Amino acid sequence: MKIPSLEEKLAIARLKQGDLDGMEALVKRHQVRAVSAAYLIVRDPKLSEDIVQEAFLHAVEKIDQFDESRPFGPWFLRSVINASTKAVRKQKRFIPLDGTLDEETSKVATWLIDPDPHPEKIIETQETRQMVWNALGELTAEQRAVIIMRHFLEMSEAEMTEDLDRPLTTIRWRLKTARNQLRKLLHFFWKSEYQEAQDER
Amino acid sequence: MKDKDKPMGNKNPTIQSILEHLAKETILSEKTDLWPAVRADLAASKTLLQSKELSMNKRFVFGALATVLILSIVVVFVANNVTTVSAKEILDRAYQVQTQAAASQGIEHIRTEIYGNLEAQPEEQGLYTTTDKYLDLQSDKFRRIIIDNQTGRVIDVFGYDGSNAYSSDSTKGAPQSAAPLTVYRTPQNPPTTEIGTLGNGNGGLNTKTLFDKMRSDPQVQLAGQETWEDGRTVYVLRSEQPVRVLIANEAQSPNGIIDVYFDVDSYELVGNRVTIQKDGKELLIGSQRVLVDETLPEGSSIAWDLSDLQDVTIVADPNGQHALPEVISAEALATRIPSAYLLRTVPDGFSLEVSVLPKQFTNRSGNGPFFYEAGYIDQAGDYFVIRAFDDKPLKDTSWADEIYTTASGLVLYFVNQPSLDPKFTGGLMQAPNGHTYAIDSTLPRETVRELMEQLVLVK
Repeated sequence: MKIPSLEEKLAIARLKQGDLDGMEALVKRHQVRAVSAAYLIVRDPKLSEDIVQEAFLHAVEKIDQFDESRPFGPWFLRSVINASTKAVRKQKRFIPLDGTLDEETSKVATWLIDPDPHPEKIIETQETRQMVWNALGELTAEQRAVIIMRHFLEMSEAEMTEDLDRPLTTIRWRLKTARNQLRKLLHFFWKSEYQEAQDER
Repeated sequence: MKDKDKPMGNKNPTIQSILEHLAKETILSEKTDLWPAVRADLAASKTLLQSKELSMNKRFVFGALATVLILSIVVVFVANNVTTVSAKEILDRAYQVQTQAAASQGIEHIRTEIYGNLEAQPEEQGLYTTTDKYLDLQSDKFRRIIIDNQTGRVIDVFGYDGSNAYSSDSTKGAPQSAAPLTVYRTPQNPPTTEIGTLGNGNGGLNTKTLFDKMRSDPQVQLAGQETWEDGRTVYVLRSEQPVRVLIANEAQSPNGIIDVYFDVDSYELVGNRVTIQKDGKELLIGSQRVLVDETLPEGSSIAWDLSDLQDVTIVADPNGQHALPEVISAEALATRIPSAYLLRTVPDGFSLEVSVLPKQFTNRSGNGPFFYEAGYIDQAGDYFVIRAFDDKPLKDTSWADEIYTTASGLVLYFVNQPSLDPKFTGGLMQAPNGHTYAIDSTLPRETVRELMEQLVLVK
């Protein structure tokens, strides 16, 4: 379990005493990670900032419910993820997959679906990033959320399920369907690459 | 391994790296600074969104303390040392003094000593403060300084020098803080001084409400006279009533004794004292004493720019990150806030003050700036205030005790709050545009309903 820093504990103690400036340290510590995570889900930088800004205000309102023996980050980031998925549902905006998938893109996509096979073959390029970006855009908000929580925010399963008001099975199902959806989207390349990976094992 | 602790999919450093890159391409850490916006939003929620009582608590907590206590006077009395002058006569004369036309020129100066112990702690744990207030009656200039009597330190500052507003950071103004108080200097229009707190001449006392209550109460008794250390002699009017205190963060209402003081010569209201019985002993909960109430000649030398204060740090805030709600004209409101409602005409005998937050967020719902407050107030102190509450519809209205819908489709959810000032009338209003607004008034519900019918979207 991550241990809250002294600075964070002090900031939360100040907040709980009604000193709103205690929030400053928390905002500065978590804002970039939070906005980045929100952006990867809602795909709109301005909306991401709005979501995180609201989430900080929400955190102030709910700070009395926060267990200060635990780190603030996961608690706060989960609320950002929740707000982000809600925002996407409200927008109902999905960015279509476009362009033809090249071989390197398919490798990146394969790894995204199942990180095990042959990481050494992935070459991280602008093109592969664009491919991942487009593929993520075809997922539902909930599917994106679990991938971002797991692979970007590095949350454990326990951290992901906490406070989400969703049972563990639902979270697993979301991750599974997210991967399946990616697999389906990238089927053309997935098949050959995955088979090749299996053959090499 | 517990099921919940099992890994869910493998974390992969490359995937993480790609996601990091994708985020960093757009979200630049050096350009991401949400704190000013969050802070301003927190400030907005304190100044414009919350109830008037909460709003006062932030900026006028000490002055409001005694006011709230006094405003809840009820009718049980203790007869004691009745003199030849009756309580009713004192009240009638005092009322005439309090309501006579105030000076319109010069500089009003009021210094008030206030003690607060709302949590009913041992008396020495309460806070004695002195509020020193200057108001130029012909311009917008004012300054109000609050000093902790025990330490002599400035703990709160609020002012306007004609072009800059001065506002201390209340979160850093705690009496126990060792650091100099930070005061932000922001170029802006005159900030709103909030109804009934700076404009009157009684250290924050709402005299109309107080006198209405006391004069309509046949059992008000004169407890006697007192001579104070400064030589003033005062009449003491006394009542016994429930007093709201916070004990262990829980509101309680033990019976208390309320003394109200009137100068025997001028009949001016000069103070009050509230006590309760706790553990068999009298415990002081709050007191307020007007030390100075004078009008200085026009042009008197006052340091409106606060340059005379020694233990504060004045910080320039040219971008208005700490700007206070500022007063604007009703006409300007239409250009600043596209979703503002005002009464079609200002009611006879009332004046209108409109205030907005200079630095607003335009993107909460994509509908542009939102926060404003419009206060209609008459000479007697009655008011009708509408302020933006949220740019979203109400989710829960189960708390409403009456729902009133106007011909134009505005829906007001009245809330009954007997624990507050009994004269409070108001609730939350939902407009057809999906926004909600808070209504706060001293007027009866029937009048508020009539005024609601006059609300129009400003254009």
